[in-house]
Amino acid sequence: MLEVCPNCPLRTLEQALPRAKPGDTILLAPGHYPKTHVVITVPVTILGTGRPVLDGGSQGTIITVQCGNVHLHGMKFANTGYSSLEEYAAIKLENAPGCTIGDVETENCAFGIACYHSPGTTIENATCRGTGAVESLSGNGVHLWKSPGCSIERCTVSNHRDGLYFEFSSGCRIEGNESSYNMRYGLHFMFSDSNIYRGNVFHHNGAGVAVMYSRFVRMESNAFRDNWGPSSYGLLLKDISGSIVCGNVFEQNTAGIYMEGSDNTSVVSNTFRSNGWALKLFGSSVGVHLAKNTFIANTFDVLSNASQSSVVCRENYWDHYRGYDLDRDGYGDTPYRPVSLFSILIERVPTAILLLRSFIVELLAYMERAIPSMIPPTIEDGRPRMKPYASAAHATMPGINSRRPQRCDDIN
Amino acid sequence: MKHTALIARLALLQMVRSRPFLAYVVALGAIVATLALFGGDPAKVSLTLASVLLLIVPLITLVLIALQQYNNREFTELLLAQPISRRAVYWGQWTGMTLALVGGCVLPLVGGSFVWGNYDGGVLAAAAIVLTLCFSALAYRLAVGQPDKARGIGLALMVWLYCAVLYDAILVVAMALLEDYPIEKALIVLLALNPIDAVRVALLLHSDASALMGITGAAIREFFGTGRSLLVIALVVIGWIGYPLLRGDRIFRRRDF
Repeated sequence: MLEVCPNCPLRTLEQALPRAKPGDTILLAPGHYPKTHVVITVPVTILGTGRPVLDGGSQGTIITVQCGNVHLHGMKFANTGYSSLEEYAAIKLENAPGCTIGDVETENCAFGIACYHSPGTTIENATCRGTGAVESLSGNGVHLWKSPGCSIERCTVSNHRDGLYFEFSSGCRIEGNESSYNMRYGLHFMFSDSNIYRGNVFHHNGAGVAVMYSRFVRMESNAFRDNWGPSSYGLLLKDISGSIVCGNVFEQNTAGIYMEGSDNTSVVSNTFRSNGWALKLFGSSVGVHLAKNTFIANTFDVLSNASQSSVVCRENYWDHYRGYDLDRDGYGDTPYRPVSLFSILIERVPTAILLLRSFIVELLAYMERAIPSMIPPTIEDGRPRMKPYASAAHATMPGINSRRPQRCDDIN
Repeated sequence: MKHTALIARLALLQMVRSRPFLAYVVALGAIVATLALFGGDPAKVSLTLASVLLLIVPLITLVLIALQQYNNREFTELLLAQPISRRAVYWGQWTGMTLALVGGCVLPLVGGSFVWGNYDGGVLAAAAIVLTLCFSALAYRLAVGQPDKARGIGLALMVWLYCAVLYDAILVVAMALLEDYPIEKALIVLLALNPIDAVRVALLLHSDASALMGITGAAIREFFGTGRSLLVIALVVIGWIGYPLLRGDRIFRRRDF
């Protein structure tokens, strides 16, 4: 056990690390440690007491870890360098498997926690606050590169470029995090299969959440809120296959889900409320399963050019549905076509959006209801539900982390 | 000028005392109250109110102005028998009636936003004022130019039908037919030419819904978002108010009563 404090024999981490043997614990006393730039090459545990501050003095990376089984706990990191060539981070893991990072804070750092080739990393209770400076200079809050099997829990990331960023990192578990006010995406991952995202909240991000080129992804009970802007999405799914999006809440996004080139993906038991478009579903998506969702107060329910055969749509609640339920089984007797005539027009002529809320558009909607056969059949819900699902009511509560996933386990 | 003000005052009082006008104000107040109390969240209240205003204000303005102008025929003739210039009669009557209507729609809107405060009263009132001015000028011109009451009111209704419904319907059909062509700019110009559409687009841009417009929104912002475009809109609105009024003035001065 080694002790570091501003008045001890060992005044800085730089002095302590060469003396540390594998398995040692370094206790870091409260205080401000300026100009810290260290490289850890032996498996040690660094424990901060009373939240010591490691200051990078606006230069370079603060802690670089180059071996496995390093544990960092209870520290605050501030002021890394910013560069458009180097990826400076508060904590950088390079070829460091099985590390743990818990209860740390980073402030004014280009990258918060960056992991390269470091499988099995655990990051818990980290808070990363970026500066929200220029997108090209700023980095990501939590950044994983070729680091499979990691777990990231209860972290709070804000004002970075991307909040959480994963590339080539499969089999990760991402739970209970909050990612907000990031310049680009709250969550961004590519080529990362079999990841589980549960109980996270993504809000007020420049472009929402983008997930691409991945398979077997599960997204459960997350909230996607207030991603509002001309090119913003709650959740962008591009070339995703065999995945499940279940029990999530999409609220106040320009487009709740934007789906392109995705196959065999289930969108089940989600709540879409007050979005511009609840779903933008493009024809390149096949085998999409859309069931038991609740759609409330969206300007448009679905924008799609998909053919009927590629989308299975059933038992959703649509607040725009005007049918009846004579046999009282809880499901409407007439089908609901969520793609309205006006949204078909917009899909073909985007400029037509200028007629939004024009009287003629209301008339068109009325005509559709009176003569349903005039809408070309793209997507049809043969069994629209008459009442919203109970899970939709929970969705109004602030923070859904505590909520148990709704009927997500019985979907395959 | 003294005569104009006097006649304006008479016309205003007459409008304020007329039953259809009172019904209009009460109905507007009732709509505002219902929406503000039961309409849910503020954004939705503003939106619904805007849709209602875009339909109701032009229609009622057209009908009320035309109606009063026709009902006042004898009084107008009596006025013209006095040593009062035709100009004073013409402008005085329009100013009075229009002021009454402006007050009639602004009062419930602003009052409601003071009492309940859950919608943007200022913006909606501005929209209502622009609509009232445009359509009162149109209705006045129609009523002055058309001696037959039934025809005049019919024409006013046609104007409403055209601006509120047919114009957009034609645009929808045109867009569907011309989808392969770059019609963006042309469409924006065409929308600016119809006062109802111009006000609707301005309200849309002002609201959250502008994010739905994506690339189109960017194009409009480029067009409307600068000082120059504000000038363009102001010119269009002034044109819609000024041209019918000046034309009506000419007709009124030459008309043989």
